[in-house]
Amino acid sequence: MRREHSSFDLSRARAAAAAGGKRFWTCLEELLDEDGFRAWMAGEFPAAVPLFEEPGRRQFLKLMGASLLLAGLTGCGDNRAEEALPYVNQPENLTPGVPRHYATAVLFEGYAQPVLATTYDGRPTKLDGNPDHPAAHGRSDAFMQAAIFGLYDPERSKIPSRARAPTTWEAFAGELEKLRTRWNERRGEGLRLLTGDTTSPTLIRQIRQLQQQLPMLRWHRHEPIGHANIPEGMRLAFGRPAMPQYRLDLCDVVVGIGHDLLGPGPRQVLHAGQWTRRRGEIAPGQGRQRLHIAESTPGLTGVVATTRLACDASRLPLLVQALAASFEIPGWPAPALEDDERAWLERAAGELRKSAGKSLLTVAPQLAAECHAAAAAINERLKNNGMTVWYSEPLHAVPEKEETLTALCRDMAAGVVDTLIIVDSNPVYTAPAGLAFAQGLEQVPHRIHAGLHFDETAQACGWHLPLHHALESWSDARAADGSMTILQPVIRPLYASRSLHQVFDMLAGIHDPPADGAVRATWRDAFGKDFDERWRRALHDGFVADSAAEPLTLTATAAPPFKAPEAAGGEIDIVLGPDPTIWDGRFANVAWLQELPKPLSKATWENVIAVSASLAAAQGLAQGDLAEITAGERRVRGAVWIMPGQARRTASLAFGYGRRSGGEIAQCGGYDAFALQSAERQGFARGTIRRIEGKAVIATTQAHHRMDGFDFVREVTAEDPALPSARTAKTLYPDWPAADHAWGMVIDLDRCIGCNACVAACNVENNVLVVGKDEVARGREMSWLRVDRYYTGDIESPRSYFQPVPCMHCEDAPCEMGCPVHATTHSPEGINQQVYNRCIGTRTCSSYCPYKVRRFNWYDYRKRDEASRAAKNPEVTVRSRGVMEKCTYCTQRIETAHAQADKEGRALRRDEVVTACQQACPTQAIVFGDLKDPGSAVSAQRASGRHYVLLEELGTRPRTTYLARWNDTPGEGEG
Amino acid sequence: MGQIFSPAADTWLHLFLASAASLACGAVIFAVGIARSDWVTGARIHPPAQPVPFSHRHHAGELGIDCRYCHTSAASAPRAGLPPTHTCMTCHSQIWTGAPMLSPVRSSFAENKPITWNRVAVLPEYVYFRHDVHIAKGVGCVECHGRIDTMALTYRAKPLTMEFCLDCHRDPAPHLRPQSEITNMAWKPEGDRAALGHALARHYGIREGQLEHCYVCHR
Repeated sequence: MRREHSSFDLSRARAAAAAGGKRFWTCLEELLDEDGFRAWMAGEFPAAVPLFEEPGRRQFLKLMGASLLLAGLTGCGDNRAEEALPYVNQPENLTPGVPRHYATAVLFEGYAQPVLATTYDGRPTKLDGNPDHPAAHGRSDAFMQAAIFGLYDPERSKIPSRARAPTTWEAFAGELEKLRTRWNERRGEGLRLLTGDTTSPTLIRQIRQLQQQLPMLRWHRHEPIGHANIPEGMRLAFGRPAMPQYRLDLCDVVVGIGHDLLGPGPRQVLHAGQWTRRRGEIAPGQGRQRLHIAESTPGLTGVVATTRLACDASRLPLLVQALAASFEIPGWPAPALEDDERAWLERAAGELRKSAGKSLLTVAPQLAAECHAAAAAINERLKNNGMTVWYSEPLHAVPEKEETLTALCRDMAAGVVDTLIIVDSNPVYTAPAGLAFAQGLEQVPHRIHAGLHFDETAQACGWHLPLHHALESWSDARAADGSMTILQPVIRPLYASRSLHQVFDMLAGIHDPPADGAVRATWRDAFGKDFDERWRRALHDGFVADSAAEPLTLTATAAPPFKAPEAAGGEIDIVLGPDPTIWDGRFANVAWLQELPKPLSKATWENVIAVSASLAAAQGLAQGDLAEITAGERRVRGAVWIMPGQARRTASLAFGYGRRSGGEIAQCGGYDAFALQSAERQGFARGTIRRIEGKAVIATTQAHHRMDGFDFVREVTAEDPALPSARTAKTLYPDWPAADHAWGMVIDLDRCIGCNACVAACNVENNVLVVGKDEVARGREMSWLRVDRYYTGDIESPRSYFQPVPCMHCEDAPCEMGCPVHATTHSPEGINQQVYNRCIGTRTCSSYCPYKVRRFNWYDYRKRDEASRAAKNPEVTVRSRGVMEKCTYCTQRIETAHAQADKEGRALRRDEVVTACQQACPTQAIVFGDLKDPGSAVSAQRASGRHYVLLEELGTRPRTTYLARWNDTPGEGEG
Repeated sequence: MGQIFSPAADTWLHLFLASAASLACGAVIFAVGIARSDWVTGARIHPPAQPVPFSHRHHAGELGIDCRYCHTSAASAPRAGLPPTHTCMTCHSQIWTGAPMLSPVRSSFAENKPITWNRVAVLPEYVYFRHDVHIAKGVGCVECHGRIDTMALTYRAKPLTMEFCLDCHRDPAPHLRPQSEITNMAWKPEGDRAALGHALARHYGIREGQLEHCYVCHR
């Protein structure tokens, strides 16, 4: 949409939002200019319209001629000659073409994400949550799904290098010999190690042993996001470090202050699983969990919360303080609050009290340690300790004060660091700008970096050593619930890399260490006599039995006196947080994560500066304007995104972009938010924002593939819990011949947290291709499943909704009637089929589709991503240019299940077929199954009073249907 | 003003229209014929060159080695599987150990390098065929591969076109046989073939009428 520059008109947006009553809107353009938006949307691919603004006769003839020529060419080529190479010695239990599954894990901030890896002929193609694992229950998140692309990343570092020149591991071993002599002489003085957080028993053992050899060696830790304040807070509360573990499934009331419990991170799957177990079918007022969230930046938890308070970041500690005061924690004076804050807090405190023993208070990881101590003390008063929250030993090795990055930077600047070994960390990019890490590093004579990419830190170090990806290495780690997982390789190393345990073995003086030596040694001690059997068991199951974290008996009596700091300097709060799809930049070179729309802004391939509508209006900013954020002497420039529900005087920035090295995709754009990070305070700064010249095109998918109609999202309340039951539309078309099964899907909007796990899983399972930022901006993204996001109500405190939309598999499908070559057909089991080799690319089906779920291959997108060929699912065709594609209900899984059942001479078992999105969903919001089986899960869901059909009035009779969301907003839904 | 058209003009016009029409029809018939011809489908002609002139006639026909001795996963997996070199060497480390014809096999075994065969029964990439379920449902090897036991050099015996597949998917009964005869190339049913076919279809629980939609084979 082209517009003259004009700043954002807040009053008009407010009036528009209020005028429509309970009207749903997805973006500001829609809210402000419904007619223009509607006209723009009317084009099938609206963003393509400017390409053919004047389709004159000449251009038409040229295009037609070119198409004819190209169409003729596609018929060329002979692919009949094919070679077949059998094994010389076929390994036992291996059948070519039959997938094998291995239980292992991928790592995220040092935590194990337990996976079941599917491999075809030695080539991993898909990861899913380990179904037997107590922390995952088979569920996954987007990072876990995309780890497979991290493995095949063509820009991974492949061989060791010294001063940027290729070298060998032997050369490094020789250098190490010399270095070790010196370390031994000086007992490790001046030798420093820097790693991220780790939970790996083997790594911790190796480093401790190294410290025994070299007593003066110091091990520093740096986790760019992490949760360093939590164990520190527990130390204040209990006198010892600990980690709070939540039981969201046991909570009647949860109060979160700034804490995105269900948001992305290593604990998302665990928390979402617990939350959904409780959410269930329970109606408001009948024991439904009440979730009260105060947050400065809209997060996933806020979307599903009962009440949500948009509260500036600098005022979040005040809320904790006020809550502590109301619970009479000594030394916590009651602060002055604004009216809306007080109202929210009184309700939250009242409900916490009322449900004492079944309530939970959590605070954001980035809040000060004192706030965490206060939360522990309040939970203690509420007798929640031992019920909804319990405390375990920290799962990761907690750094002492002298082991932090700050201490390292101080020592580097002082010139006392002789050798720095950085393992699997990228501090040159991720260290807070205030610490001046890069400048300090230059003072260090010997710098060794080991990592997966030749990133910013590798460039600043003399030696660079390539590390194995988690899927290539033997290792171990603890999952979010503390259970130990042994990582086993599922593929032979692709490059001349080594595992980080091998690197530490080398540091300890072992020549050519075996890949599994260190891990086996750790577990040989732990397992004792039964080693062989227990080792085998642990590898098979994917976790060590009964190794979950044990509760500590701790009692929080008090929290040290605290008074929230005054917001000083600058005009606005600046919140710096992880990016929801590439985190701190460690996943930045994975194209699929770049193209995954951020859950709320739906922006892709870059980070934006999220500001509130009122801040935008006050600063004369409009959507996409470039702005400069200044905090003290530090500044960054980025594109503005007006985020509904953002706290008024807070700008939110995301880490991970603005990379200077680390891969072509990683360096795709955006700004570097670490440049604003101060040494003292994590994730927060005070500063100013101002508009600068220029405007950016933000590749956001939120207005793409829009449906035309109303009531896409529906709600029910406790008073009015049932929607009118679905009408059976009259049709002139004859019924389809019936088969034994009728596939259908129900998506529960009450459970969807918009986390993108389903989209990521679908992409990997179905070989959906990446198209790149320019193509996304044109509305050509290929993902078969999109998660629409809707708002209703005021622009500053809207209620938000997520709605995943896959193909509806209509029984009277407009696309089937539209296709001139019959390339889209209907199966007896009710699946709307797309036949790629019949499709000639007229796109009629797409323009006929009222749900806009069809995707067209405008180019041969395969060519742009040759590297991930190895990751392709061999059971699914990879589509080429000029064909339409869409969700198939994972037909390959249906047909495989049929074949299995047919072979065994039985009928399909109940709920035997599971689609990729359903399997991944951490909240079980997606249910798929046989509608003909009255006992199937999907039939049960369809019988719910909340069941409704999207665009029912069109009479398409979709097989995919929805369950309405409960509205439990106090005063609106229930009293 | 003289006549514009000569007396023969009408004849010429008719002749022209008739030949144009027959040319168009002929072109269509020719195109369809070509597409189905052995020249395009590769059936029954030109056995592809192989590194070892392996004879199914000798091994399967004369010696009577069962198909599944070499194609081990035919009954259990989507792909029938080509035998690893090790399988060849189970016999050929004992017999014909010096035959020059077998030197590629011996060097493959010695150098641990696979033998590069040229595939005979190739289906397009968008076809997802499964051996296992066809065998489980009583479709014999000979139905698609022909009389392999009589082929000195292996060639494609059936066209393996979509029509070929669909004929059977639409009406599987005449192509079914008891499990005991799956690999028997020479099996001839006794008695009423149609009745036996229908009995077998019932016995195997074949989902007749549900095997013709696109996603059965394409996805």
